[in-house]
Amino acid sequence: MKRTTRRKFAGFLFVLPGMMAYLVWTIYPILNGFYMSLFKWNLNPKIPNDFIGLENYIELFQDSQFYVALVNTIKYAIITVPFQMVLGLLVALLLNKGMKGQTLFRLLFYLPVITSWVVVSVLFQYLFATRGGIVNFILKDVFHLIKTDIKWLAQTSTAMIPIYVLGIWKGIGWTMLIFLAGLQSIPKQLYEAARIDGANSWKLFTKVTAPLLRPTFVFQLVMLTIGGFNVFLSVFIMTGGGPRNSTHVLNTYMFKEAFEYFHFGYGAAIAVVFFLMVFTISQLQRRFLKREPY
Amino acid sequence: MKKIITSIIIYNSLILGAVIMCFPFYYMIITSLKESAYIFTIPPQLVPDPATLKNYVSVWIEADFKLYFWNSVKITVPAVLLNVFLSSLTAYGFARFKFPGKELWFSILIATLAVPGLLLTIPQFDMVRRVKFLMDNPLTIMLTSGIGSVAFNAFFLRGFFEGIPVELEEAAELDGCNAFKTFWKVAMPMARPALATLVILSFMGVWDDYFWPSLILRERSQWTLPIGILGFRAQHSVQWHLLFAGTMIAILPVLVIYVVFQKYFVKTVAEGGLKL
Repeated sequence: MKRTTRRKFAGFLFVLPGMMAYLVWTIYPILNGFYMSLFKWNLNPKIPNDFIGLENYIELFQDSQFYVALVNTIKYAIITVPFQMVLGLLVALLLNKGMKGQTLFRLLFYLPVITSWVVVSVLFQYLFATRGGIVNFILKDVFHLIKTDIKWLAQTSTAMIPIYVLGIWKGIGWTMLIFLAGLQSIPKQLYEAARIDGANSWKLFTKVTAPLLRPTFVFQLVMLTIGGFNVFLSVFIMTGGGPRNSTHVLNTYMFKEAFEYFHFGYGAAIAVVFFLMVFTISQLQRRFLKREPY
Repeated sequence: MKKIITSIIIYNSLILGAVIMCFPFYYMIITSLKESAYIFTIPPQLVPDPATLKNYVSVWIEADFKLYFWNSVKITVPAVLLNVFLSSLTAYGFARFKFPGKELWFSILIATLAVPGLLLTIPQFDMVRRVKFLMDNPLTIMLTSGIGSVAFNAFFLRGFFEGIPVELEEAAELDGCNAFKTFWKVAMPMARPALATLVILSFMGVWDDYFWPSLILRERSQWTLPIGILGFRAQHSVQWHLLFAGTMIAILPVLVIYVVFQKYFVKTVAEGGLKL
């Protein structure tokens, strides 16, 4: 066999196992997800499923519980994304001054990122406990900001707050790291030149740092928005969608429909709508924000 | 003088930030060392007195965390090995060979990266539940975690393989190595930093996974740590001292792996912009 033919064959063999696994475990389920959303899918695999066309979608768009979940998901993204970015940038700017102990600080800020959602969600549930929770203690007994304990997770008006706080707290380490890499890639000469021209620190930030970090901003905005829409375990664990179904997000609502009520077709329809939304938003953000920085 | 003041301000802000970020962990650790009477005292104890390791012994033995821990290990170790091996094979194939449809396949791979896991779960579950053997079987989780995220990993590793000078591999080939041997003996050792990162990512992904295993492993004897933690919480809702001893057991292996590989990890996350 000629060498090129042989190498073509070898290359094919290299990717074959991975691609097979990928076809069976990713491509097929994606297509099947769209397909299932058109059926009243039966719990018993032996009974044929009823084709109902777009009925799941029609029902979905009249489902008030779906809108609650949708609004909560969007609110979660709108609230947590900017906080993660601003705070992460702030820490990165401080760390970028080249002080001693950078590695240690980086590790400490990064700890929440590498801790599993299950653990931190359980932990925050304890911190935000109504009676004897440390957050209420700090607010009431240390700073005297409130008179009575707040029932954080037990009342509709405040139940989302611990979930937002957790999302922001867990995300800062990641934005910090990405901003730090972005900051370190800015050539030092630019700052020197600007300083010679008489720019102060604020000018340096707005005229040099910020424009050069633009690609980093866009990247983070897209990734964090997608991540925000995928919020799941924190809500699932801390409130379970309650009180009175007020904190459901798309993922928990999908879980409830599919794996508690076994409405697989309906759950698949939620998943499809969710996917189309995330896809559209990330495309829009890319298009509107990814202009050349100069 | 002005410089000293600035650096004091910077240090103080960083320390304040780090304290806020780490306080929840500190509070979890000390709670896991408290006796049950002290978990909801006002004011809360910030140093456990008396401190005890009893809770750890108790969850490890009585609350079956020993079982969950070994279940997690038995699933995670083979899954990570399979995942890293399969991903490197695929990435190497894309990096070093030319075959028909290569770039098309690769772009499909990338296009599906943005698909949320949610869209996959229902059809995947529907596939698994049709085969009785696969339900309540840790082998299922091992396999599905092992082949999961191959798309992302291949995308991530391809660049690293392309960055290795090709001459070494050509020399190995001239010496009579076949393609697989070249890959295994030459390319893999060179890609060690990237592989180390992949091991961490893959380990955290499998070790911490709750949702998918909880759908498949319904029998208590098969539970992994995350399922065990939430199962324990559901049963003993206010036994926080015990619960946090359990979560500490779940965190420790991740922490050890992270600290050991920190050097590679931070660098690749920053450069590649990996999202966890």
